[in-house]
Amino acid sequence: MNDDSKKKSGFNRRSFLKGVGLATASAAVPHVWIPSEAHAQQTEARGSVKHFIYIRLSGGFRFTAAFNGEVASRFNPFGKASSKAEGAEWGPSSLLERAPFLEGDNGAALREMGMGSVTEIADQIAVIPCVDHEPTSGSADGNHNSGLQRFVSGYAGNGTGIFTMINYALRDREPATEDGVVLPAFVLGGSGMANGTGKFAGYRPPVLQDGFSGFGFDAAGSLPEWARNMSDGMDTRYFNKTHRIARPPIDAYLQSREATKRYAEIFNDPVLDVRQQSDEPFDGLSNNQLRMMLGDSGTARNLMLGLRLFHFGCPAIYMNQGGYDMHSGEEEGLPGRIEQLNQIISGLNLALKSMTHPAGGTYWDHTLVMFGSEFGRTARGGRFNSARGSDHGGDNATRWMSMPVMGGIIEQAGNGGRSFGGTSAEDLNALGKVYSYRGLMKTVMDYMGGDHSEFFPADEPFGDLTR
Amino acid sequence: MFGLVILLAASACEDDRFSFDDPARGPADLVGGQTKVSNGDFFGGNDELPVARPVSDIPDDTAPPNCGTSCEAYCDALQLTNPVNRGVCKSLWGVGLEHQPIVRAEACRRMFVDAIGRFPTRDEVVATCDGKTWGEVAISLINRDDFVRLNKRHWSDRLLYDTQAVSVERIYDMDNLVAKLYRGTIAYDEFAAVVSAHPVLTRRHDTPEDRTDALFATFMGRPPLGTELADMSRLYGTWFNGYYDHPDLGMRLPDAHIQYPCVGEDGEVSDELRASCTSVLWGYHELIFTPDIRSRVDENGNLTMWSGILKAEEWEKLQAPGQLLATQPLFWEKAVDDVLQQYLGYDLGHQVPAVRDELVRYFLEFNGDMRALHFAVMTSIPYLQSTLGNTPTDYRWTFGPHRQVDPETWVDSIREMTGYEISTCDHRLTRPDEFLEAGSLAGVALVERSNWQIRDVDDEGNVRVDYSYRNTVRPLGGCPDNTNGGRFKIISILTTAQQLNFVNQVCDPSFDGNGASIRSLLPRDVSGADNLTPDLAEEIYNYQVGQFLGRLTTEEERAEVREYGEQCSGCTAAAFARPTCFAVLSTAEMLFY
Repeated sequence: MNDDSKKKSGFNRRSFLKGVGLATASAAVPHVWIPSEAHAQQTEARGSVKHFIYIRLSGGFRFTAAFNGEVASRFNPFGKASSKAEGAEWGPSSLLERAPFLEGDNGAALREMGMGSVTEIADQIAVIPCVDHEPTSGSADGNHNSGLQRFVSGYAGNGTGIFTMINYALRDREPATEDGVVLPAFVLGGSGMANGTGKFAGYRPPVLQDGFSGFGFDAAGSLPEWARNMSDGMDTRYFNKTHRIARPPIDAYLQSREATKRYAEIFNDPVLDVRQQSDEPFDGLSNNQLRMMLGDSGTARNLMLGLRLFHFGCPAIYMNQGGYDMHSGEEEGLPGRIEQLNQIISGLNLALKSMTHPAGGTYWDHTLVMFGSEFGRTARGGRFNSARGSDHGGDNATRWMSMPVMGGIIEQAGNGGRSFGGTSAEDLNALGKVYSYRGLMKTVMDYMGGDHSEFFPADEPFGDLTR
Repeated sequence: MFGLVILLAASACEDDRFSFDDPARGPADLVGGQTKVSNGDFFGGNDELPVARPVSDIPDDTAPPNCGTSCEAYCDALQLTNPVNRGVCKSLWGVGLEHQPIVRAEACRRMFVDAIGRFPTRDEVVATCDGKTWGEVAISLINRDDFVRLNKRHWSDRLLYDTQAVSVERIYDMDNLVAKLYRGTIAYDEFAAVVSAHPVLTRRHDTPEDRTDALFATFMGRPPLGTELADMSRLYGTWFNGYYDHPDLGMRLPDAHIQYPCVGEDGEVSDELRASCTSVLWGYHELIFTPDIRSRVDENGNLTMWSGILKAEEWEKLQAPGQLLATQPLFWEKAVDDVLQQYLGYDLGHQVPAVRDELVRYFLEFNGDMRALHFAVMTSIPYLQSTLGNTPTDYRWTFGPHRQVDPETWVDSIREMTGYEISTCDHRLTRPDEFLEAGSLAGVALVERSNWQIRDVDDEGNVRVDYSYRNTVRPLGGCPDNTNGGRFKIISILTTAQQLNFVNQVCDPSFDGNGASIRSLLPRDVSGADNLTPDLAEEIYNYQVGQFLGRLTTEEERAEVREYGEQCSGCTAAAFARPTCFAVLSTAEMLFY
């Protein structure tokens, strides 16, 4: 979009976020108003993160079999890793050593580029072993329904997802570039994070199911002028003849229809077509290089798309990975399933470090990556349940989300490899600090420079990760 | 062909435990036979259109209208039979207000969308609505399978079906129960009783208090008061969330179990324990189960019994919470309010309480037959009247409903009208991939027999679900997986872009290929290669407006379209029809109704 076109449209570039949802019939959720100054606590690293990648290990993830692996076999039946990077405090399990993607010619090339297994890069990842939805609660919430609600929105029954909150928190953000537009955070599959009611409804992130094909249409480029006039005429007539009380949603549709023209350009950019087998580097890495690093899974494609969206100023992406609700067959199935996750972690680590950011430095410098799940998993005292799987209940194994986090600000603070807290190997009791999940999400919003004062008044952001 | 192989293979190992055609297992099977709960002779579908009582001043819409003695006498004299009309009279005609005219095509289109979830074509409008009373139209729509199908989807949204939280067998069972309600073979209070003890509700929620909350939200429209919560939760302490291994699906499924909170370690029920399983707020209701040969100690050390082996009389005993709520007037008022909201999109029951009162009476007169309630609202003047044109006041009931269409309705209508090929989704199987990946033939067969469509088989012989429909509809708020929240409606830049893109794919105005057949966009006797003339342009436009919007064109539109025909110099009929399709299908008139 050049300057002329901006003048013609009269479009306020900052209006995208405000215009994400122009009208909604959602009912407002009543809330208690609390003066914002009392809850405007900020971290020292406020505003230091430009992009956030949040990946849900879907279905409930057995964290003790991965990121908190130095525990008793009834919590981690797969055993701890045989080795890990020097300086890593946290305990990777043997499953994180699995790296078939580093085998063969491709694997050799990736190693040449600096890619290692998760255990080999454990010193670049920090883990928070005890993240809890409700630190003051007597037991875990191992319910698929309410546990997931807490994960995607902070509370059971909350109607506004974390990513809607992020968009709201960043509502006054400036465009990434002078000629750019303000893209919102995106949800790449799974709509829970994108819920929103009341005044937050307008900040719901777009939910992409299959790339950008659905957003890039430009009517002006496809229709002859007479057809555009016909279309406009039909809409205007319908608006005018409808009862005045019923007009606002029609007006919202007409306005959003007009606005889509301005975003067609960005969504039609070939850079966002990550399925293309391109060797053309963009921000330092081609599609094919990214594919080699991240793999060819749906999550990998979503990550590729997300990284390209970051170029255009998108602040955050969320996606699901895996399918870990393995009440049966976990013993046989989890090792294979986790290999994809391992490649995502290792590949993302390398990709972020290899890509040059438009604002200078690498994407690693500006990005925070985090993995979570609705709850952990338990075999209730055995290594596996009777179906060789694991369940979820109210115990510590279900309770603690041992969440890995990586990115430039963690490393620059000297916290790569750190374990923020810990658990007893025998009974999984917390040995250090227990972090509130809501506080963690507010921390992320704070790192991104967002206004989080309206969310989770009883939970504060914390600066431990960057201190 | 692959599907046939799967089905034949699965048939070979089928037994009486599981049918992938209808895997329902649960209490719905125990209620409702062939007999209807009412005679179905619903009245009120043919009221004479009243005129406003002559008054010196019409009410000021800053306050509810005040109906005095003359107004009441006027309404009584009208002898209205439709309960909504009767209830609204004292806030409408009786106080000197007029309703908006009923435009047959507009009203008929609205009834189609609300009753069967699809816009009608002009031909359907004529065939279904012309020359018939509104009562005849309503009953013909209510008797369609699509009426049941649509309301199944509404209940899946309300109960948040999710196979990750509730067994697929239970969801199918609830779906069957909803069908019985909308076919009139069980009464609404009986339906609520079964729902109150159905694993779709009890397994979906985690604690007795959560279940009580959910039941109140569903059937009372409000949270329980403190005393109600404490009391009714005692009837929900029997439920326990567990799993069972499904032998055919090869999956461990989440399901409701029975536990024994009122049985002491000595196996006896003491008075103290008895009290914790007894509700006294609505009379004395004790709900105590004691272990028997069916009980077993689960992996957690709890003595429980899988609800899949409950007897009929035990199911009935568990249904006390729903039975108790049905004794409350609010229970019936909530049912009425829900239906009013479903059809009108605003809370007429709150704004004009007399409407609610009349509808409750009507509903009970037909023994809680849900069809009666839908019939009464669908044939009422507040529902049928036009949304077009302005009124002297802003009282909401003085002009017709106006709502945004559900994404499924929008896509289904376009598919039906144009023949565009796109799959569908199934609200009962929210995660079809999990069944495909279970490694069992029954799992694959279940998906194949559902509304999901299998797209292809990959190199390793694995089948895949065609998500083209879901991928279009879910970003618009439909086909929810219900993991958290569910359906939503929003107008945003990106949802609008998504809609325009879909219309572009269907209409293919740039002739990129893969759009709907040109035959569906042209009148029957017109060929895509015909040279365009102003007359032909008008004919094409008339056809498409009739086909897609279900109405006739106006003189103003016809004059304009002739000009467009002239501007489309040298065009063929196809070159005019495809962009016209885009203009018509993308209009706000397709998104709102």
